Amino acid sequence: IAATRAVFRRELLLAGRNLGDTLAPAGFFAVGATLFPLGVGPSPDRLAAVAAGVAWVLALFATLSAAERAFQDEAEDGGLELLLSTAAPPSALFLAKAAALAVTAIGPLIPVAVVAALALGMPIGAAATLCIALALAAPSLASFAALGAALTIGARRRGVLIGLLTTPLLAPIVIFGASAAEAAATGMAAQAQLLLLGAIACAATPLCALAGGAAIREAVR
Amino acid sequence: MTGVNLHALANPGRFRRFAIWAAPIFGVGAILCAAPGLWLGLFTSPPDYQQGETVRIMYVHVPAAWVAMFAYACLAGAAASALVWRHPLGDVAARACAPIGAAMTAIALITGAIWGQPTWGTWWVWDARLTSVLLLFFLYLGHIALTHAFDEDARGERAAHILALVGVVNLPVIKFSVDWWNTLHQPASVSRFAAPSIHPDMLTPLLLMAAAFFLFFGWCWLTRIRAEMLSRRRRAGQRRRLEAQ
Repeated sequence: IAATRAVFRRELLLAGRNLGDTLAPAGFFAVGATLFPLGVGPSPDRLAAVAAGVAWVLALFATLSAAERAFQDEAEDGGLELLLSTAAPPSALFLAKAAALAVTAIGPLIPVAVVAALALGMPIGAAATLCIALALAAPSLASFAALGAALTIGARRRGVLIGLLTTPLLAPIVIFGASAAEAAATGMAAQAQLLLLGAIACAATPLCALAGGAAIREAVR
Repeated sequence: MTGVNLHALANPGRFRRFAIWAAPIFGVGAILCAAPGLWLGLFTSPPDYQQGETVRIMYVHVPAAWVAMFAYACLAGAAASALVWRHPLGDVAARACAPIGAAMTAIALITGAIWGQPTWGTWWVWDARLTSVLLLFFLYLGHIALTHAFDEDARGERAAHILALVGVVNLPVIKFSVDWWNTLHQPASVSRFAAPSIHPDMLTPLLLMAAAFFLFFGWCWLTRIRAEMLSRRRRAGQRRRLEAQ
């Protein structure tokens, strides 16, 4: 337990020291959200129609770009072997890294996403639902993204590979999250989608912890 | 596989000798099932009362989809056997199975699109079943990419095993997608506990083609496993010769 907490605190500390790196995904989100009206045209109806989906897809991309850094330095300087030599089970270490990813990558995303959604014409109630949906999905988004990072430690072309591997697993989250914001935008209740997002988070986190622990162990063999 | 002890097949030498006689049996069986299946399906079975002659794509599309899902289950089984029980042939089996499954998924998607254009009026629709089968295709591609992404083969295979096991959750989603969501895709009419709701004149060629596809998958897989084992032996021999110099 102490090792897990130490890993989590260390990740947060490192993220706080390299604020430029940590806030880069949020910056990427903002840039992407700016590009969409430029590409799709400024018509408010069309933008409002796609706002929920755009926000969620950009959140996915931003999380994946943050995940690429997740196990990078440990793999390079041998910190992974040191971590695994502690008494903590590898899945707990993986969960610590995934939780840190959730806080450092998805945490800054949520306010940026809400602002971007409002800028794309989403009504305020729907933007609030989007915020809640992102928060509910943060554990599962971070778990799958960290799993992708753990599986590709030491691989060539790691960034693209993480995207290819985790997209099939993250697709349901994006579907339900965008559907929640969409439902709220049209005035319907988004409770079912939000409950499903929470359920996916509850189911995905232990599954990814198990798989991620195995992936970290494979990486040092 | 009655009478064949699967533990006995764990010995690579014994598996190689098994595959040498078993693979052609699968292949011949596939041809023996495909010939009447295609004849009945393409020529003598009745056209659908709504769709006309285009229903005949079903005799290729449905078996391909079934084998695509079955191949993923086999891939996950091979991955589990390699990771959990350290089966000596698990790595080889998984590496051999993934491209076949990917090809079958592609066939199912493409024939489905060809079928959808005249009957639904569109090549593609983002409903639950089509999307989840597309995700299955990406899972296969990701598995293949991960296997080849490392300089050391064994590392890539182990990572890919974990990915294969995590992706198994997609299989129930595909299976039940037509029950859980309102989709454009046809609901299940064969795999129900009551009698299938499809006429025997169409059911027989469908089952024959399904048997043909499954036997074809078996033939492909066994042959690819043999090929992979041979290629590993050749590479090991090359390494030994290099070291001996």
